[in-house]
Amino acid sequence: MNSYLITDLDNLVYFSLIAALLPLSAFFILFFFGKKLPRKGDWLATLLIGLSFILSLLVFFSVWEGRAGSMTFQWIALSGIPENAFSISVSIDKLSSFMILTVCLISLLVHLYSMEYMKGKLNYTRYFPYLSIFTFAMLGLVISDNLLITFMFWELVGFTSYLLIGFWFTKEEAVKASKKAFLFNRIGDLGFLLALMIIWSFAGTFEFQYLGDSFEDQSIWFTLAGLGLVLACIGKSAQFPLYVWLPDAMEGPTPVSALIHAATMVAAGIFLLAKVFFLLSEDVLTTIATIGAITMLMSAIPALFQNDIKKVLAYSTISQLGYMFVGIGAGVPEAALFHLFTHAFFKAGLFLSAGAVIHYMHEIKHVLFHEGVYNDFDAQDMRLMGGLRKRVPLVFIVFIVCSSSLVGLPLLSGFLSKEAVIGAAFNWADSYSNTNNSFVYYLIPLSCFVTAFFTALYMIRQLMMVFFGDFRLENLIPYLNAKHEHHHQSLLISLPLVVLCVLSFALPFSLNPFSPQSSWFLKEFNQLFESNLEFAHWVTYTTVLLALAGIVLGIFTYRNKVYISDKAEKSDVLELFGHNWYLEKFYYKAMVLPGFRLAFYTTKIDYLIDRLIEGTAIAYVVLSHIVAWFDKNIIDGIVRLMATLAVFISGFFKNLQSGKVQQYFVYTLATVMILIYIFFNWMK
Amino acid sequence: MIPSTHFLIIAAFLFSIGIIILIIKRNAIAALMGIELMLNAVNINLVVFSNLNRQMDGQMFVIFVIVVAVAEAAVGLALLLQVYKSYKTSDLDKISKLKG
Repeated sequence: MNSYLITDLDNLVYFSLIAALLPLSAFFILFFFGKKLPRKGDWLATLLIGLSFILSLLVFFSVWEGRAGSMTFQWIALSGIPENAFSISVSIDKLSSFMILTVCLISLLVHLYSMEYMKGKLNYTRYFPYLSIFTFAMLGLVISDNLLITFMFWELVGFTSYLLIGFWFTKEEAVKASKKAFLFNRIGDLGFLLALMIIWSFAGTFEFQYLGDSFEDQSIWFTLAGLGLVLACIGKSAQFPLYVWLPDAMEGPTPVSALIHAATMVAAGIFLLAKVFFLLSEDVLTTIATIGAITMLMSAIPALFQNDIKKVLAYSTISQLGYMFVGIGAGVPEAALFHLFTHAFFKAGLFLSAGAVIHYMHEIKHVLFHEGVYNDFDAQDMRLMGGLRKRVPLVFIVFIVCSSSLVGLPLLSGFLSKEAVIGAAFNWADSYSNTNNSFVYYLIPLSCFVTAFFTALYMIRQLMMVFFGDFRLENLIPYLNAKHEHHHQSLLISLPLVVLCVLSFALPFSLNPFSPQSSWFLKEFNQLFESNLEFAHWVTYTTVLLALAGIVLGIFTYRNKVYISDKAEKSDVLELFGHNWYLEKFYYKAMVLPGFRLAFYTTKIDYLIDRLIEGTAIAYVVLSHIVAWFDKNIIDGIVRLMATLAVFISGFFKNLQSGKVQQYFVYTLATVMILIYIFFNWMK
Repeated sequence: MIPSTHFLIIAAFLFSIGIIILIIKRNAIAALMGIELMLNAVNINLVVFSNLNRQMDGQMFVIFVIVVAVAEAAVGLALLLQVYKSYKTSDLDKISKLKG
């Protein structure tokens, strides 16, 4: 097949640049004129994103037919510095083209979904510009081929995430969550900055294409730069020490959670690691795998104890990002990228279905409010839901498909990518254990297995709580029983759900839905990374069996569970996992309290400095009083003495000029006599 | 013959009296008289010394001095008259416009 969609190589780059700039133009138009446009301009943003999506499809298929393009612009040209020291470059290859497609597709679906979901909400005018600028930043991050430019977009992405988490800024939790997300990301960005400094001082350029040549020797700096980048990705992709921001980020609007905190932004860390994969040394890779394994276990268990429909999904996102980290760490980035790709669709689908459920609950609240029965219940609390499969059947189907994909059941996309990751982890542990004679490395695939089990458990719990059993809200508010309104599902909500549901099946990714190796995605990327994709079949069977065991156990555990009771359920286990391993408390004790203490002592020192300044001021006043006295009495006295002296002397001479003739005569006489006396003396 | 020293003593005496009159007298006319006295004391000296030198030029000069003294007295009295006219006094202590 030689009919390329885009024939000119430059056009490929231009197409993707335009795809990135369209959302930016949407941002500017909506930000300045959004209020004047009909429907606040949401259709315009969606339209432009749609155009971007079409362009990204063209780019994607051209690249997948074997084309690649890159372009370098000189940014700052100075004599004396190398030509590629300050340049901006754009590169369109397989890695970036598939990310462009993912970002554009999910962004388009979220735009469509938001038009219905956010309708009539506070600050609707500002919502779409924020989404557009996020999409722009994400696309820029993906197509940039320069580490510095990537960093700029990386920060812009973080900033828009901050804006969108705190979108409902009247809610205190949202404001706190946005601050928290921003600060935790700063810690990661510190690592990025350090890595940038090291890379600059060694390579003298930020261009990816030249970076590989400059790090020939495996020095300690090489490892440090890699660790800095890993720290940045830990922050952005919400991994073990820094993941606490992501569950709180669910305070943002649900479509935003789907776009930013599930599908695209948090995947940016994985994307960056795959892009700088050639820079990562073996120690760094082992660190990445360890962090990923710790994270996936640590976040899968608290997910079992959450009652907020979105928070379960947030913990599950962290856990799945842990899988991707393990994939990178095991040296098979294509598996991680594949999981990123499939996860983006089924997790966005899960979030959007959760959003549809929340939307339904909100509608009930509205109806109750209009009927005069005011009841302020939490629309995201799963304890109030149940039996929704009859109320919102479409959402139920989408949810069950997407969650099966997440659990990793065969025939679904999650199965393919998760098997690839776990298989890669197992191969990696195998080879390391053989060389080092230690079984510690098997802990990582083991944690993958355990997490697969827990994933099934918490997903089945969520399914049971939301869609099966009785509608518990009705039991609480008997008034609802009488009303059985037919819920009208808007097309704007159904369409994205259906698209994501279809993309959660294995068929779009692989013709043989039971073999990850035969998927076109892994095949193509294997040419890039050339890693071993073959793994033992028992890994697959074990994973599937564990997932099924989790499902069965979950059905029996949660089938007849009473969620709303008078006596509060309390146990140590619940306390530990409900509080996310006390990680937040630890951060509070270890970071925030010392911070406050430091602030307290600084205040003390400040007080001391203030007193010192005051003392100095007082000393100056005293000194100036002394100087004033000296000035008034000594200096002025001398001046006055001079004046008096002049008056005195002049008075003496004035008296000579009496005007009396006789006196003058006496003077003359005396003078003549003196002259005569002198004259005679001289003569002698 | 009377020695010339006596004449010189008388002349000095007269001159001193003239000076004293000029200094202490408040009346302007009296002061003018003191001046005349001093002139005459000088005249005596001139005559004595010319007599000692046996020459006449000193005595000739005395004649001139007397003439000049007359003119001077005339001018001085005229001035005095004008002063008196404007100040209504001839007291030298009160005529002190010169000090400005």
